[in-house]
Amino acid sequence: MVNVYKKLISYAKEKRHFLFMTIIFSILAAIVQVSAFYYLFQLLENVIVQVNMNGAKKYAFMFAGFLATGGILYFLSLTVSHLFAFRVETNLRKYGIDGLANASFKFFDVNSSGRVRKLIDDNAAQTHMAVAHLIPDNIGAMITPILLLILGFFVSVRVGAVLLVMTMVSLVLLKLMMGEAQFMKRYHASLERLSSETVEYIRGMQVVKIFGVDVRSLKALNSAIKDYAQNALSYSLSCKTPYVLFQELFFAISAILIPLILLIVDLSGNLKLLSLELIMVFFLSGVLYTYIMKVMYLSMYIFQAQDAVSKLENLYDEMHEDALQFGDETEFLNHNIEFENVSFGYKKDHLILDHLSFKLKENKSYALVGASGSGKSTIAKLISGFYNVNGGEIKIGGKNITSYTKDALISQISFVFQDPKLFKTTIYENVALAKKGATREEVVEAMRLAGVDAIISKFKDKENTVIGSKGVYLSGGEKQRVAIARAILKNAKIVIFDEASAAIDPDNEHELQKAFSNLMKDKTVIMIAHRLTSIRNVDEILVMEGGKIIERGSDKELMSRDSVYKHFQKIYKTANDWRVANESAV
Amino acid sequence: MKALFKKHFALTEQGATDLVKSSLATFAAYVVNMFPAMLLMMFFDKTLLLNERSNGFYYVASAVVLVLVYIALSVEYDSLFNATYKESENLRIDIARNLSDLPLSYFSKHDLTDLAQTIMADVATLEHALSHSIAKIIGFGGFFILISSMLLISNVKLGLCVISPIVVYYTLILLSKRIQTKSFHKYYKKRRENSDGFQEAIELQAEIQSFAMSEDIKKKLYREVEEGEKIHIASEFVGVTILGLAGLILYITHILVIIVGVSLLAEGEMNILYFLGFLLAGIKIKEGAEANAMNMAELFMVDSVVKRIGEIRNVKRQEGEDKELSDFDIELKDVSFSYDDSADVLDGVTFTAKQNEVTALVGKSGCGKTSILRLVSRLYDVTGGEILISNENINNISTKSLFDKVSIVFQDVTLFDTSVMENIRIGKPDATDEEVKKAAKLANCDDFIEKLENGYDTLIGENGANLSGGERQRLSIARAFLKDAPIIILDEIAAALDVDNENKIQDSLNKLTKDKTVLIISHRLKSIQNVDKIVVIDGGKVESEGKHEELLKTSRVYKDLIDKTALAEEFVY
Repeated sequence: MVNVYKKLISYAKEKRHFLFMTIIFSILAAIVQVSAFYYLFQLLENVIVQVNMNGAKKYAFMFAGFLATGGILYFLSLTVSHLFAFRVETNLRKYGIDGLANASFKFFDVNSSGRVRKLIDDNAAQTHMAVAHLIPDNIGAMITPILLLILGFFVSVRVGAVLLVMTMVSLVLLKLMMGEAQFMKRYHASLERLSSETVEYIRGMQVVKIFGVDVRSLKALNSAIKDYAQNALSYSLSCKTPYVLFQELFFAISAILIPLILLIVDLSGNLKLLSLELIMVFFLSGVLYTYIMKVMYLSMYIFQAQDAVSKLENLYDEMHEDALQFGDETEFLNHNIEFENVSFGYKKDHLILDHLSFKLKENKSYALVGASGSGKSTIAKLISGFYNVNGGEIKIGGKNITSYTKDALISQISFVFQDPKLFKTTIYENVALAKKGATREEVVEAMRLAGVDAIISKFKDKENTVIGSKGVYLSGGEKQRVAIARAILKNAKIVIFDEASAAIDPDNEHELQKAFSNLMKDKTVIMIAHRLTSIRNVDEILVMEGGKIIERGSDKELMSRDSVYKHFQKIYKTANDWRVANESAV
Repeated sequence: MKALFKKHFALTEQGATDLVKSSLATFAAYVVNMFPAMLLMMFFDKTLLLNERSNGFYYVASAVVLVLVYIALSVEYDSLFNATYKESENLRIDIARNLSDLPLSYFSKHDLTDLAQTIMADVATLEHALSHSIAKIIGFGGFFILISSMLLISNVKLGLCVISPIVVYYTLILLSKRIQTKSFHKYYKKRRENSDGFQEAIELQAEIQSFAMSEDIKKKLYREVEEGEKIHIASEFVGVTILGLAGLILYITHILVIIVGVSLLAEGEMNILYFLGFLLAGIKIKEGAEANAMNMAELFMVDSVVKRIGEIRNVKRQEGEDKELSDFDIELKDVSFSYDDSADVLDGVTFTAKQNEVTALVGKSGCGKTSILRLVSRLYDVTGGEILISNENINNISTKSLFDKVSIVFQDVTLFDTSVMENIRIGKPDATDEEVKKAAKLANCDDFIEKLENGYDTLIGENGANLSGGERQRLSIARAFLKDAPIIILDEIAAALDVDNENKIQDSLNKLTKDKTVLIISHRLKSIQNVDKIVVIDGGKVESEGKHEELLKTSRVYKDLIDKTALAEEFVY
């Protein structure tokens, strides 16, 4: 428990004083509230034993005054702890934002944006309860029972002893209620299974409906639901006896004590004092009950907080673990690219590239060719500089890319990946952001060269059309053209282009080709094109298979022998010439 | 009352009955829990007022109280917790059933993971509220009325001292809820904005980093989060202050009871027993009221949960009767369609896809051709006009009868975390292993399946994570072979594949489409040149239809597309 709080507190060091204030206020609140019951005791003593009503009135005010003061102090501690909790939440989000800026692209490839957002949003908010409500309550729950016992003994040894016994018995019952660790484990396992079956069920719903087979997945979900309910029920049943006994102990304490008194105590003594003690037991045990209940819920909330913090930390660790490294070099001697024994994979035990080495010369154009999964997109991504390799070095201008400053590196490289994204602002802004301080002419020229002018002519607001607004739809190929306009404006020496195969529509493909050839001029170019006919004039073609470069050379060289490349060209032609045929109709 | 519960808390029939029971049980428990206090009073009658009763009476009375309390608590426990878990089970199953009845368009419109998580969390929230709050509040409400009347009857002045602060207390709580809902609304709005900004920042990381915008974006997000914190503080402040104030008012109960009680005692208007009785009652009721204020806070939260569950139940179902379809022409008549009230995507589309023919939809990106496939497969429903199969409006055919006759092979394939065999068998649940294998062979799947570790019994991981795009696609074609439906809808299926896969897929496609009604979209215009009919869609309307050669002459849009394709094919970087 202490660990969870230590962690949470470390996220809001600047508001640490709030935490101390919370603690102090809650301790004071506990002391003052228990003191109130001392005055209740005095009050009742005046009423019952001394029959002094004026004295009683005085204590009545003290009792109520102390209770109210205690209430105010508790309220203050709650307010301060809320302020602290808000800050923890804010800082947890900020920490997430920091992580984003440094994370390698691998993190974003592996984690969907929605999942990352939801994890951070939900779990940061989850910590609120643990910090805002539980810190004051925890302290109250820990201190008040002790203070109550002290007060009990102050009233009389008998009252103190009864309360002590009640506390100990209830702690034993509480322990029974917590159940075995094994049990909780099973419960949580069934909860997790339920959650993943629900996701699976919903994910497959369209298929399930289309094929009319709701049997299997519904069955699996049903069994997960039943299993969870069964576990919850048996947990609930196992708690029943201790919980009911615990409640009975406190609610029906008079029914336990009265027979005991009749059996043990000599009733010829001071009956008034005895009555006073009895009623004090009744009151104090009531307060004790409230706090012991709080202790009971404590563990549940602590568990939730722990869960939230560990989910966040796992995510943040993942971000920071793979954070990008940069150096302080700013000068590029040339733009030759070199892979030296580079290994890379999304999972440690599954490398996509394994000790790959090759060199690319500046101002030449290269095309990567290969089946899906051969590693061609991976190479393009790695050159972007936003990935950490598992082994080996990627060099540009003879130096490891990690030795350059971030700004220097990104100023040298433009990339247009398969799925470029646009900001929810105007198309003009979306292009202009590629170069700080670009003039209007530059931006317009870049848009023209990339064929974006043809896209914006469809819209009423032209280049001021806002992405994401009503009726504004850009196809994948059109988005790539905007991305190419950015790259043209940026004018970096190295250009990487991964043609979006899925997104190319016939009316777009040629525009995209023209746009990219405008971008290619006088650059070092690495491209992945899906029309194998279009790459015949590049300086060199690199044929990939299983993460290795198995052939390289110009189109002419490779076509002149019995190469894999030649085979690719052949099946490409067959596929391209293929026709859908309804044989009966032919 | 039952009907009210059912509606108000989105419960099942059984759940509503159980809630009535648990409310009664809780009420009974509150009442029975006063017995020990009464016993105490009787004992004080002996010790303070010296009215002698035999010890035997107290022994018996104590025993009775202990037994009654035990029974009451134990019944309350069963009705609160045990019944709740049963209800949350029923509720989850009920929601799962409801989901499977929802129109496909519901799933197209909602983020599925979000939906799943919401449902899980929502039922859990409701479960907790049911076992901890709802019945308690109702039980306490009944008890409060009962005890108030008793207190008022026995002594009006003291009765009012106990009751009135509590009434004020609850009034303030309700008031603070009103105010809080308003200010929370503002906070939630801000939070949603922040969430969107955050989402955008994550999605656009590649752009942000490569154009050196990280620092600016970070500053912007920081600023927004800080602003969110300020609004959060402001929104809680008002409500919390009122709650704090309300809490203080409760203490007035004690002050009033004691001051008034002591005066009455001093004037001899009341004996000490009554005084103690009121004091006990006052303190117990205050504790109960405070505990229930927390329960009420939980109840307020349940509102939005109930609303969401209710929404799922109230979505309009795709109804229709089971019908035996005999001929399989697909006829679109003046079909129009829009997503969520935005501009029309389709506007008066009319054409027929004939049985035993291949009909291809062609057009520029965003022209509406994909929407047509979605409408025919009922992933969405038309907003105007009608789609007929067997001369029957598809809206009047039950989805079961319809999907019985339709195979859909889409770009994205959904696979389940089970064996390859079972994933194909989805196409026809009662198919034998032999039939599955035959279908796999027809779809050119057998070569890669044989290579898998355990062949057909290999588990393929969540959504087939271990398979390539082409392999996934071929599995879905195998499903379609197995199903052998007379209508086949193909959406751009050879789009995202590399050359090697494409050849194999094309092979199997021609086998699959034999003698069927086929509706197809392909970006590769060449591939559809020989089909029976090409329908050219432009700006949500049918621009023209016919065979390839005719269209070259008659359709400007088609000609343009073909020309552009030719340019792209000839293009060399």
